[in-house]
Amino acid sequence: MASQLTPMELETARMIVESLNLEAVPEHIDPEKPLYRDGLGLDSIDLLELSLVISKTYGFQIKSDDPDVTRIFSSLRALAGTIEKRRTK
Amino acid sequence: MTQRERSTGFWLQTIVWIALRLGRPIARALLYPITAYFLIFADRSRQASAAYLTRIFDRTPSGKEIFRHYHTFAETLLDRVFVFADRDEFFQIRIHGFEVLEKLIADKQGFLLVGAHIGSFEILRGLALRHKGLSVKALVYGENSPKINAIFRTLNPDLFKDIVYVGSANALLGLDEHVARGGVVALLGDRSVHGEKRVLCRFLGEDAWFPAAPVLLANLFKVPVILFVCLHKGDARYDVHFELLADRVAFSRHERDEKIRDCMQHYADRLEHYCREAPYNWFNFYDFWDRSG
Repeated sequence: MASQLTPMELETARMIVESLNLEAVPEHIDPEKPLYRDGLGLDSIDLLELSLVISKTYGFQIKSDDPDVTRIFSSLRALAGTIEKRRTK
Repeated sequence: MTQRERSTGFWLQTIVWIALRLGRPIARALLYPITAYFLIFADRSRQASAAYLTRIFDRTPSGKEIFRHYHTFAETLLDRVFVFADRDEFFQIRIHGFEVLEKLIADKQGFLLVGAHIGSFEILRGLALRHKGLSVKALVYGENSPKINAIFRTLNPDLFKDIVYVGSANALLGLDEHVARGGVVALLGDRSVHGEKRVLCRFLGEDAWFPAAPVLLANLFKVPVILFVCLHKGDARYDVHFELLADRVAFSRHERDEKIRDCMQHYADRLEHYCREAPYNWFNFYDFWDRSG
């Protein structure tokens, strides 16, 4: 099955799977589904870990009081879009 | 709101009023009929108490012992009122192992404080830490008794401003910075929450679920893990214990499961030690060893 992910979405999916040691196949992650709980099944500690990896890899931080924070983690597509927009490295 | 919640709220407000207006001795005397009332109506908690005490004593507990277990819980709840209302002058608190914390605080080194539903962790929050000028963020999984919390919040809103309710995607973001600035993150390590990572540990003779969160967080923050319990030793006496559980948690991916199990098993062993020292201080009134959920 050909992946429907954009290159940035695929890069983000690989980072998630790799850093959180998930069994999911990056290419098969549905870009529209939530990352938290239902969907990819991540919990709040996973998302904290992910935010640390993002900060290290892409040079920007996602804080809990970010007005956009709920949307950022709402799906792979939203997260990849945020990384593209905010990355400093 | 159910009938039951409504009446619990009413009784709580009444007892808070009595405690603060008429004083601790009168409120403490009233705990006897209140404990009896709850024992009669709370079948499942009574069974849970009996099951726990059976493991501790290695025999079936008497009705009197179950009553004492419940009554000890009621006593600590009442004392919480005084702590939260800043009326704590009569407490006799002995602190053991504080030197473990002193060094970390002096070095401005953040750490993880892991407690349990043993004795009264609120006493600690209200007293010891408040006076040390430490910045403590307490992680709370769900708000399982909103009514009780609302009343305590009215007594002292300050004590609640540093509570982090875990239950949304972004709840924990930024906690790493808090710890890096020398802040403390406190959580209770004896309730596993459905959907969060957990691990089976031996506790009082049988495996039970414990959360993996304390170890996972310590590994992310690269900080020491300190165990704390505050045992109620009768009347106004409380014994606080601090212990180093792990100096620095850091593990690679392939050792992860093993490290989580080792660290939480060590935690469970220490809980067992304190349960044996003060048997009536165990306040998980449900089937702790239920592995079906």
